[in-house]
Amino acid sequence: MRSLIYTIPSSVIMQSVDDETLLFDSETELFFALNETGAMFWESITKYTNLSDVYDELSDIFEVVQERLEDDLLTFSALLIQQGLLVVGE
Amino acid sequence: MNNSDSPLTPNLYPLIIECCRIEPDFDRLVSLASYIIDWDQVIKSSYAHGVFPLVAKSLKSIPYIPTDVRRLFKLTTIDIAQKNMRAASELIKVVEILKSEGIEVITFKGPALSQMAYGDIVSRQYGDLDILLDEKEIVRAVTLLNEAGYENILPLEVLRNQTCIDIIKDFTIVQQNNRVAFEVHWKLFEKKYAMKSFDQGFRNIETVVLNGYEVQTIGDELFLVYLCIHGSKHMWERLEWVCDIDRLIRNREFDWDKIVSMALLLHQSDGVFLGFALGRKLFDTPVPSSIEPFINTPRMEILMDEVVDAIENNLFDQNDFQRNKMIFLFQVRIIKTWLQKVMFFLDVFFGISPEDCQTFHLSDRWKYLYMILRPYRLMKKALAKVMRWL
Repeated sequence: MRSLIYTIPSSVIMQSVDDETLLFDSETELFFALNETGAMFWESITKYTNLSDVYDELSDIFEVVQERLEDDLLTFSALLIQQGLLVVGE
Repeated sequence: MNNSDSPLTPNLYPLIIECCRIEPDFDRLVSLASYIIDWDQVIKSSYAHGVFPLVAKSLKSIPYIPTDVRRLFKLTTIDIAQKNMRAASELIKVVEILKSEGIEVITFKGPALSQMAYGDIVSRQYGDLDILLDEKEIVRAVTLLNEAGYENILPLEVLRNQTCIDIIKDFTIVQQNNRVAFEVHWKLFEKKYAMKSFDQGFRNIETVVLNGYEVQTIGDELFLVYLCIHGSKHMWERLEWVCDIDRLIRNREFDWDKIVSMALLLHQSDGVFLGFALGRKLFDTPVPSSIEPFINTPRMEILMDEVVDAIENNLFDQNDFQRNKMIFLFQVRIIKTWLQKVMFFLDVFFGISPEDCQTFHLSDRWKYLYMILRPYRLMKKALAKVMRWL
């Protein structure tokens, strides 16, 4: 898992509502809903600043092939970066 | 007596109240829900009382609820959560703007109350956001917020008029883009409820964390007293307010001797104790024995019955005149002594009103002229209404 340093902008907040996890970016005024897996990914992302640390934690939780988890995490992170919910770099 | 257009569905308010308890009884919920004929009334009433998130959460696993109603519960809950998240973000922005210019901001009700009482910012409904500033900083603060895209509902000149500052207690601004509204306060209580010295004498600050950001809020005892006075002033027309009292008492530690001392200093001490009495009656709120002498009285029983009757018969859903008359008479009944009742009556009908000082900008020296100019203002207002009708 290649190392990717990131930060979460201070404008992004998260709330669990019903069975969903909502993210809100006050800069863009956009809302995003995460499913159960997305919520677990996000929770792990909030704990660290390096994607490889996130991968290490998630690999203990999800019983999937290494490459599959890596692909999913990178795809998810790319979506977050595209939407401004994650910023690459310190 | 029910003032809705259609009869109230059976068990409507017993169901809503049970849903708002800290631990709703599942079997009782199932039983009550089985009698509900009109789920639209449950949805509408829950929303009107500000307790929709609690009702939706409690009813999630209950049978008898139609699929389309369940869907509406979920969508509305998410809609409320989104509004609240937007509001909380806006509050943090406003706090940051003012703090960066050296203006101390205290936030109360809204997200702060939700976090303190319910543990998150989405379990209660709120609209306008409330911030409390030093009176000397209001004009500067509002000017800064105007520059940041917040519009004033009233002209800024109102805040430069000392008579207006003394009469009104808040000033509304609205974010241009997302229409989130703020009430900017410089005191907690109007004069008819408490002297300014009370407000400032008992004010202490606590910190609450909203989504990782620390904001200042009013200290616990004063906050609880304020919420009770606020609720009683409006005859507890929203169940949410009683729920807030219940959850705060369960989740926070209070100095009850201090609360009793504060309450007894106020012009409407029974308004404070009524909040605790209603909490205990509706939600079994644990109230310490030191409060019992103040709430176990025939007078308190009558006041409680009046509130519960108004809620259960939808009396707050009347036309404005009937509703305001009912609430005004209730406010008079809460006041204990005849002297205080007379003072309250005189203040309401003959005191300088916010509309007086907003229409005529007189300096403090000439404020006695408001009483003379008021008939002119009222005639002008009546004439404008007639012209619109014609």
